[in-house]
Amino acid sequence: MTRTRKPSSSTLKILSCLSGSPGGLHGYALMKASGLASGTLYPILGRLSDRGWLEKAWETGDEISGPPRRIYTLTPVGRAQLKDLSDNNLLQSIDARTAQ
Amino acid sequence: MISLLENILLLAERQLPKRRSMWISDLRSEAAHIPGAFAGMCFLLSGVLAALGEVLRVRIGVQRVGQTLLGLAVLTFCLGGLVIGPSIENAVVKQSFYTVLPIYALAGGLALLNLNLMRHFTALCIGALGLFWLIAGLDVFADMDAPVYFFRAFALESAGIMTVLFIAASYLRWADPAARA
Repeated sequence: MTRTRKPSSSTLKILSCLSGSPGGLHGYALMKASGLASGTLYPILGRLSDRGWLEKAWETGDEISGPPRRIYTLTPVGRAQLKDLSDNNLLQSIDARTAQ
Repeated sequence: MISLLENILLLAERQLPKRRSMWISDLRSEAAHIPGAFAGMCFLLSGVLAALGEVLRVRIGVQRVGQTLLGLAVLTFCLGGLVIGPSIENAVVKQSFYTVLPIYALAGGLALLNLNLMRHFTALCIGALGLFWLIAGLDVFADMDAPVYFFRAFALESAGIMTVLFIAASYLRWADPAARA
């Protein structure tokens, strides 16, 4: 039996940041947008990708310097989960806590 | 410093199963894009701390930590018993106390070494103490002096402590996915 539990506030922050960027975000941009430290952000991204809520793709383009990095986008499953959470007012309570 | 942190991340990545380490390689590939040496170092440092935490969780396991804490708690209790033992004035109480302490110590030692053995040992003790409690309550012993009643009470109390240890060991074994598999 798999355990289901309420997503953490950090998870919800990541999901809401990604929902506002249809083209996806790379880790550093996500870190800036969510205000989370890399040590908190990346393990959560790993777990969300594992659950199929996020899709990871390598960044492409000619202007990119350095090694390729991951771009994270919400999958339809992730969007549905996010919708469920916002229907349950979880996101609003997180936003209120963040604003305080 | 940055290369040291990168090496620690690489080491942590190798210690973890693929499914649990994917995020570390993603973090390393992102690190090259962080503007500024200090920001890059903070980025990597936070990742290193998280990676080491993950390694501890996967390699050592919460169950092992609980098992060690349980064993140490029981052994500390026994050590405390040894300290207060000499100050007990009643000879019967003192003797009973010193008889039961090695049994607790053995349970504590088994908690550190093998939870399954500890469960069996505590179950055996509960059975033996319960049997003693029943036998000491027979009419044959009704005319005996007070120590029989004392031993009965002592056996009941010890059986209670052993039951708590048995439940703790059973829970820790249940909490360990490897033991359940």
